[in-house]
Amino acid sequence: MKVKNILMTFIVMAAVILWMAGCGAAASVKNGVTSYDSHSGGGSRLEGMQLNILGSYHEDMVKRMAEMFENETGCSVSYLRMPTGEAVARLIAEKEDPVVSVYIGGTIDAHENLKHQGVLVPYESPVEREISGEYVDPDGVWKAQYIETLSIGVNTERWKAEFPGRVMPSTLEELLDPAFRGDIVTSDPYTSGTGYTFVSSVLQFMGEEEGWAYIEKFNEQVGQYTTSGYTPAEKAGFGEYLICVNFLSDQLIVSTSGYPLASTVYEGAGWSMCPVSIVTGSEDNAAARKFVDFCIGKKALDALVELGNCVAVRDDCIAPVGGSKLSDLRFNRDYSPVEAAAFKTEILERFREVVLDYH
Amino acid sequence: MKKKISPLWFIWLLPLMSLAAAVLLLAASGLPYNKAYVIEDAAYVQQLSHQAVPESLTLLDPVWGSITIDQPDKVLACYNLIARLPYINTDADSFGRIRNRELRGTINFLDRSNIHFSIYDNVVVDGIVYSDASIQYEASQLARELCQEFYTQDSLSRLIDRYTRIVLRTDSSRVNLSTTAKNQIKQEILECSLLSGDQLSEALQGRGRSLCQIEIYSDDSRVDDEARQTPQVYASIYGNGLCIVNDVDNSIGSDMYLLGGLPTIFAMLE
Repeated sequence: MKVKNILMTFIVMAAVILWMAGCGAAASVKNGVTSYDSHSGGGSRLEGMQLNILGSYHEDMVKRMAEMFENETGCSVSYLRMPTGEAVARLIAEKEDPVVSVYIGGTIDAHENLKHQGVLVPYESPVEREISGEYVDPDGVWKAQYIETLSIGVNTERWKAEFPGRVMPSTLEELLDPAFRGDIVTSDPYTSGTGYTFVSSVLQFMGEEEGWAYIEKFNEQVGQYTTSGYTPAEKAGFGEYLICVNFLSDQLIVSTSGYPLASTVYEGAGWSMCPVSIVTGSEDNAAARKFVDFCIGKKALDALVELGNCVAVRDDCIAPVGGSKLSDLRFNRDYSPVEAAAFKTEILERFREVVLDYH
Repeated sequence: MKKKISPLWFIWLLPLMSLAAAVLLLAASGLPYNKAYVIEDAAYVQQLSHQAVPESLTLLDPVWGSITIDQPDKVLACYNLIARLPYINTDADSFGRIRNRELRGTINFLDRSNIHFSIYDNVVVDGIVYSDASIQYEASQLARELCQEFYTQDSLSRLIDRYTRIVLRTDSSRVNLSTTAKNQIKQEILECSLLSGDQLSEALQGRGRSLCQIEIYSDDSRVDDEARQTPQVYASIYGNGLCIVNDVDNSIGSDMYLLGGLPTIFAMLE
């Protein structure tokens, strides 16, 4: 009996020690990023955790998201900002050993491309039910934060001085006026999602044959292709170039800053969604999941609208300065950004032949 | 009569067992318990402890000039990053640009030669190129945190000096500011407060359209006999006193948000 009691004591103590050890085993570390089992509790606080994110929208917007998330959860966030094309190349290069857990911003074609290459993974966020279904990937990978539509921007100061009495260009055809040769700035479709949205939307609007003929002529008009989609608006605002073609939200940032840039959303203008997705390997990372939930919430989207003058996918968000909310926004619904994503490789290859190697 | 034993009698064993486990662990770990060590050369040990103590950090940006940082956490973060950089050949794959403009710096030590570094396409330390995907994230984060030291009222006011062309730009005019006006604006900028968080949200939502811009041309070199058209830095001024500062060459987006009166500017607009 005595021996039996001692044996029982040891069994109970061993069980207690094993249980206590098990309490600390819910965390695992990979590439310096700690992943926690989301079922291990802890609520919304993520103190002591580290999250690496890659962002392709403006640096101040990425920074604000990171700071707000840090304040809300206690999770430490590191971020890197890159244009969409460069970000995609980097994520693909790091596919086997990813350094980041979340990719935010960039255009939808980038997220679609990465999804098909297995670089991004599905995640069902409890917050995505608050967004209209058309702004959430049917495969569950990306969730859009805001949408943006292309626009023609004209420096009004220069226009008045150089073309007095004339009406500013407001159609794709009018951009081919020889008077504007070399004085149009747009972004490079290879490095920028904005640039690719322009090319793909021209092809969808005009049809393939007519579209490529247009791109060829438009290339004659372009004085500079920039790596980032935002830069053309800034350059036209400063008067370095007369005309820019890029997203309306970028043009509105420049014009509300006081620079003389008038914007027109032209017929057939392409548009895109800026989404957030989890990178493969971080599907069980509680911080990455929480970050995605946070990014599509009202508070985060309001902050993006404040800084980026974009149109949030939630109708309960504020409207951009000089713009309208999603329900009041008129945009070219005939254009499909997802279809544009499906043919990206072929379109860029043809662009290289037609435009870059043209001369 | 047999004595009845409580089912919890073994609970008294718990402290005893814990003590025994602690003794066993200590013995097994080989810790220098109960042993005396003699330091042969106290001066040598002192030198060892001092020779790699970074004292301060000097940063040099082509636009914002030079600043010295002596907050220990920032100096150590920079030193720690540099101390564990993995070496690569210069022809190794590029991971893309870390910064749009080169940031140069020097880590100043108490008792050893200083380390010179730059962060641009890669991290370069004393002439050797270092690069690695994960290091790039850290370098980018570090450069950004260090550069926050440039984005202050103090640094902005230092940009406005007698050597710099400052233009007050409105919808209808561009005025080169006089030395007197520049001095007044310098003082007014110093009195502004830096905004973040909810205060920033409130100011951004109530800003309306910009009234004017202060453009800073720190590099005023001429191309084809024409003055530089794009400022290095510009600040948009709004009716609610918000001043949004953009470092044009360096970042996509705004870099600093200030709130203040700027009466000289508003007087010039009347």
